Amino acid sequence: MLTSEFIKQKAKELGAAVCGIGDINNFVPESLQRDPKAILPSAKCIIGFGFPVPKGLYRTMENDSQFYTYTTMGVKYIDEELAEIFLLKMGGMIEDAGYDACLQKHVPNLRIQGDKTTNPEVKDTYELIHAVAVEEGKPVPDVIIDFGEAARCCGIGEKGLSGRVLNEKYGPFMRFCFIITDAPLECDEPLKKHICDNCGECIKACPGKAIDENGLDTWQCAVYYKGAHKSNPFMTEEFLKDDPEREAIINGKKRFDSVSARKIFSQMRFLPQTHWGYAPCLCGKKCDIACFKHLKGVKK
Amino acid sequence: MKDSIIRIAKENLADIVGFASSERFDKNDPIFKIFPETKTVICLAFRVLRGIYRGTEEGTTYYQYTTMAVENMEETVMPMAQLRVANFIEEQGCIAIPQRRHQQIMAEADSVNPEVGYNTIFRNRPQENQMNFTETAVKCGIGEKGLSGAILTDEFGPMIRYCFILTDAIIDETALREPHLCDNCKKCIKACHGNAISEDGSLDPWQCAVYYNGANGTKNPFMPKDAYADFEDRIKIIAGEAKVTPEKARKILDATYFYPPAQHAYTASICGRACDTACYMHLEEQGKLTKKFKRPFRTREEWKFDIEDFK
Repeated sequence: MLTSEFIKQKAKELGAAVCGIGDINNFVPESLQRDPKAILPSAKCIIGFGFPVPKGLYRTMENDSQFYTYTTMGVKYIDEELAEIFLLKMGGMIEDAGYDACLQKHVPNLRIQGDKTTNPEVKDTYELIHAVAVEEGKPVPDVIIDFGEAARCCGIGEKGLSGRVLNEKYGPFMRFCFIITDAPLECDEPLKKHICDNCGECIKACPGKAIDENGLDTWQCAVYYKGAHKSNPFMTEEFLKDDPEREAIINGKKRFDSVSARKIFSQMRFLPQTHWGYAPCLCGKKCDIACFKHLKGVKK
Repeated sequence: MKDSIIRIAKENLADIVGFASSERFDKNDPIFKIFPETKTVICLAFRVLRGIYRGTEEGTTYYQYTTMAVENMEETVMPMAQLRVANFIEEQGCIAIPQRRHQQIMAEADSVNPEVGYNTIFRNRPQENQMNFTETAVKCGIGEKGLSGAILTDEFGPMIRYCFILTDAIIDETALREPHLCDNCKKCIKACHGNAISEDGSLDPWQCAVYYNGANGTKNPFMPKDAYADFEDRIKIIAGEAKVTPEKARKILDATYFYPPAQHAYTASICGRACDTACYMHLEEQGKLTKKFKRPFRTREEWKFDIEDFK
């Protein structure tokens, strides 16, 4: 018999450090396009899994000694290989018990219609602008669930001020994936207390000033994540040499939108892109490091 | 050795493992060109989770099928299982050669693989020997060949992907499965968004490629209403009624960009393998599948846009 205890035990054996099971009725989608029930109308639960990103990967970026391993191991491998294989194994166990398992891996390069944000971790994103709902009452595809809300519902995290999903134990050093299922499992309570206390350390740490009290400006983040700031150890004098705004840009003073950001993406070739279009992280994830230190300091 | 191979394969996500003696193959079979000393062919079959088809069925999410059921299976999961099994066989002193589909290499001069971009394929490469995957899967006893050419298994129907290992190890073979699943109901033919399957079950790969990638607007929520404006027979194309030549298929595919492709040249499946889901539902209704679910796959009327919307 498929039980919550069995799922959590297997998740641990297969490498997830964190597992929580949320009642689908506790999931509060901001719109139908974020609603897991639009993917599986008979859904009863959403199961969340967290994979730690080794602290050492941040340490090397903080020491300016190595950046690329974070992108390849801490982002690309976890999302595109580890989480996918893990989801297939967990999903197989659920379907063996006769229930549907709708696997939800991170969707890095797509944006639902109307979502004008981007994902700094990839070379660019594509908004599904032409999509229409297949029926009245259905959302416009694709439905991409909100991982922050999913983590809250499963009791394993919440979205912090910087937009990163924070876990109580691992802070921002964790990546997530989910399974939507109609299996009637015993559910955990949604996260009740806040992990993020709006301390603002992430705001201060960002070299590109991409975060303010309202959250993350993803286009601004995308430019500086990819290395536009002078603190990028791979910065060259050739970078934007003839651009009159060079000084403002490398000092993090220029504001970017989707048009101006896309204009300079192609000029930021400091390290190779990886498969699946993941761009090298050259800001060193200073926001996450500052957040982690703060949470550790206040023992959250 | 056989039990260990099955155990290792299953630990690495294979669901069905079958073995065929080389005596089941004609002496001119490609397996002997690849490895003349072949004594056993091992088939590893992996289910595609039913839940992965759910998004297309509901018309709400397409990303997870192409990434999780095609790209990830072919490029990550299956090679890992093949390597683990091959390593084990070679530790026993035998040779093991994993065989996966080379999605972008074809012996044919003018064919196509619907799952990858047509202009990413290297054609006319007969010297790169490729196994006959369908016939070999049958010989390995994992299932039977259905009308549409899909391998049907007792457990999962057509919802599987598979690969092979050639070895000079002599291993007891699996009994062939007596065909009993496909009853020629022709639901796969009717379900295809582009009439790519003939009455006799033969598949037109160019026709399939065009409609796999979403040329049927009545089943594609990402198609703008003015799509294919430069084609005289655009309504026929959008209705899935156009008969395409390879040349025309290329032109249609060049005008087909409704959803970004995945990595490794895989294009997004907009048809959601309607042939396979129709087959699955038929087998499920008949109670022929051993893997049972609490709910039937289809719980609602099939959705479809009105062709008039594109006129």
